[in-house]
Amino acid sequence: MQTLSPSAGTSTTLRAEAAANRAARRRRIVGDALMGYAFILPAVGLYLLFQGYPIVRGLMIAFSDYRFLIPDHQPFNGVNNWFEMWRDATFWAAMNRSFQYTGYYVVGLLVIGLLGAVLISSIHGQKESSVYRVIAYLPVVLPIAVALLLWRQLLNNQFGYVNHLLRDVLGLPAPNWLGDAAWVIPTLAIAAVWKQMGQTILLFLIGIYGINRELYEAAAIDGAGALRRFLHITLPLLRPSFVLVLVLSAGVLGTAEESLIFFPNENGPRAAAQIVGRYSYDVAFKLGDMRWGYAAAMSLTVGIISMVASAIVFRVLRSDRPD
Amino acid sequence: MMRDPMPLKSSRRTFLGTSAGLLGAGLLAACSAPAQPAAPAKPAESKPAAAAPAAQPAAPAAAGGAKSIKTLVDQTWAELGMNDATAAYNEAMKGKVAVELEAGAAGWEPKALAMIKDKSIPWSAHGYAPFFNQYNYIKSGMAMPIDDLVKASPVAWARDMKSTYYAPNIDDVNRFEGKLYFIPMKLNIHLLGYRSDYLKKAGIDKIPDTWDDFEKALGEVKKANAADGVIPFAMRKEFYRTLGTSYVTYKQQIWDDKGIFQLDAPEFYDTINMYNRWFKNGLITSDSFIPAGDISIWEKGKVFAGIDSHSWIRTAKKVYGNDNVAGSLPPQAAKTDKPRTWMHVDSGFAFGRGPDVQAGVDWLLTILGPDGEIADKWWPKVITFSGSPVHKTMFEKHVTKATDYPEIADSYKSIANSTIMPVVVGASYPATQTKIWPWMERFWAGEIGDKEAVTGAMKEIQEEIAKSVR
Repeated sequence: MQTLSPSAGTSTTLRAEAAANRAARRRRIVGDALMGYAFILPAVGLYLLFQGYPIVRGLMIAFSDYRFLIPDHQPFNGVNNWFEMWRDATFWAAMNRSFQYTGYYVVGLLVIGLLGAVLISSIHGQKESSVYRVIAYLPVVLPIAVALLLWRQLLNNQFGYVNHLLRDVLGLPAPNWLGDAAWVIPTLAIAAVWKQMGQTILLFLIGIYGINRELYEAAAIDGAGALRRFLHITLPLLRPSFVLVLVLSAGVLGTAEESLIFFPNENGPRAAAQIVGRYSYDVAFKLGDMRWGYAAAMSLTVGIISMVASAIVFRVLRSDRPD
Repeated sequence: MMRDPMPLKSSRRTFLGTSAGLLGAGLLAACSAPAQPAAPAKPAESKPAAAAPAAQPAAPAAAGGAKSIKTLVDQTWAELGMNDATAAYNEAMKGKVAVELEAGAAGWEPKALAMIKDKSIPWSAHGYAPFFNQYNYIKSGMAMPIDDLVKASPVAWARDMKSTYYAPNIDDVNRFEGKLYFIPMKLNIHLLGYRSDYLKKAGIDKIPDTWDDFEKALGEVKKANAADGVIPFAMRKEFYRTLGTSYVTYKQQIWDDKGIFQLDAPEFYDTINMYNRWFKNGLITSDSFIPAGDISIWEKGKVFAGIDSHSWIRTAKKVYGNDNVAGSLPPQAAKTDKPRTWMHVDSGFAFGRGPDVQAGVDWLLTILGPDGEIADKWWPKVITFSGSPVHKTMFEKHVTKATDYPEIADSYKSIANSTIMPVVVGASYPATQTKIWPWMERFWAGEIGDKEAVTGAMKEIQEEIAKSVR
């Protein structure tokens, strides 16, 4: 029988220790991993429950002829909903209105948001500027139904303050904001911009506060006026804020709230308030068999268009990050 | 590698162990039986209980303690009188049954329907189905046939419902394809509401009987009140209010056997052409052609008259007083016509697959009954909001005494001559309401003719209805 030399014994002991260490390290790694998973489990669970499942369910519904009023009626129908959409003149008219609405909304939001942010950033007193920030943000926290009913009263052709100001005080022609089909989409956008501008102002303000003040001082020393400083310093350095505002605005293409609150039981003069979100809502909750399948397909289409728009914004306005 | 200064070994075990324990406990709780299992619907062949006096609520079905059920109704109706009626019902049924009436927000239907599909609907009955939704409620299984439940109910009037109604046609519209689905919670009789002070100013003492004469009167009112900028007539953009009501004064039955409104009838052309003249002559303007939710032009006194439910009149009476606002049946096509107007019945119903639907129907029959202290908590309140009682007894007891609203008593004269909207019109109502207005607006703006407007609207309505597979 061969006996182990002392060195061989030491080597075996060392190997055993190394194996034990590896096992301990594995246990620690597994334990760390488990710990990590345990920490993210609530977030992942909530995401899967409130985001993942609805997305998957929405996709399944979009490829079916789901009719909510007919019990157990959800046959898979492939891309038939998109064939119908292609032939559906109401959908295209609604889509056209939604693009117009989005155009008014995005331009309005950018102009007013940027203007508001620049004005507030020029206030030197901290207390004063915080008061203006709060005032600007107030519409965001106001419930949308309250905000829009307020606008409906303000824009009333006969009794609204807006037309009183235009017609009776300034002597200007006053549009019939909610009664004239040509004015309905801009009116919906005005109310929506007012509601959201606080958030945009804050986003731009964060960007403006992040710009190094020395850049302005150097430019001023070089003789740059306020406009040139704004055009050549503020605007270029706000590019990330623009990306954020534009991406957050992309979802507005499928909105329905303004139309529903201004015109609860009909689609406004000559159906002028029938934007695609409203049409989708009507198909899903008001008309016929409540065709959730077709409505989901419309919403999915709008969602994809919004995602593509966001991707384009990212691509066009991307800024190079330093390593 | 930088080590965590805090030794985690024992705390990690504790954390993971606690997490696993909590997860397990949560899973166990989630998989255990719900707190309030839904009782199966009472079999239709349940034996009728002993007859109870008319005013008495339903006798208990369960022995040994009160059973409890949940019912649902929109907030408005709960606060108007259903809460009070239910409280009185619970008091009368103490120890036998307890009804918890939940006040639901608008838009509850999809949620309830999903629960019906899952067989988890917690409510036995609902206190309010607007007439234009009743068809959908039946077709989707939300409302169930209640003939057997009504027969089995101990509430006395259930045995001879038809005889208690003010007119027999009120009974007809609670049924669909021969089955009873609904118990009426109010009758809506559409009226012409007008400013009597503006009419007096024009030197006219009463609303003319015919549309032709009424049109002349509107012209006079416009002239006499021109300084105040009064617009003679308002039209609300909901088919059943102004346009639909005007149409039924020309033609008694305005829908076909499939429930589709007959917009190509000569009488509908008469109706829309009349309004076309009014638009051209400034008797209606874009300001008085108003969306559903905004009647501020009427509330602020800028309009002389409009055709609508009684709430139109009641609202203005609150602002301008009974001396300056009045109501009447709408003018008719010819002087010899018996007065006719739009009527519909809104109702309560039992939920399909609902728990203990018998108790739900007993509750509905009692709070919406023809007499008794419990029903007296509901019917007089209806008059003060919108609508009218359906029972002869409640008419005598409450309507004839409602001196603030004499027009409601007058409106009952038209019930026998009018056709109350049946459940089947719900098949086409949403499509009609959605599709008709852009065509009418183009016609009244002079861009297209009446034929094109009607043909275009009907084509779109029929296309929309054709998408339905029911």
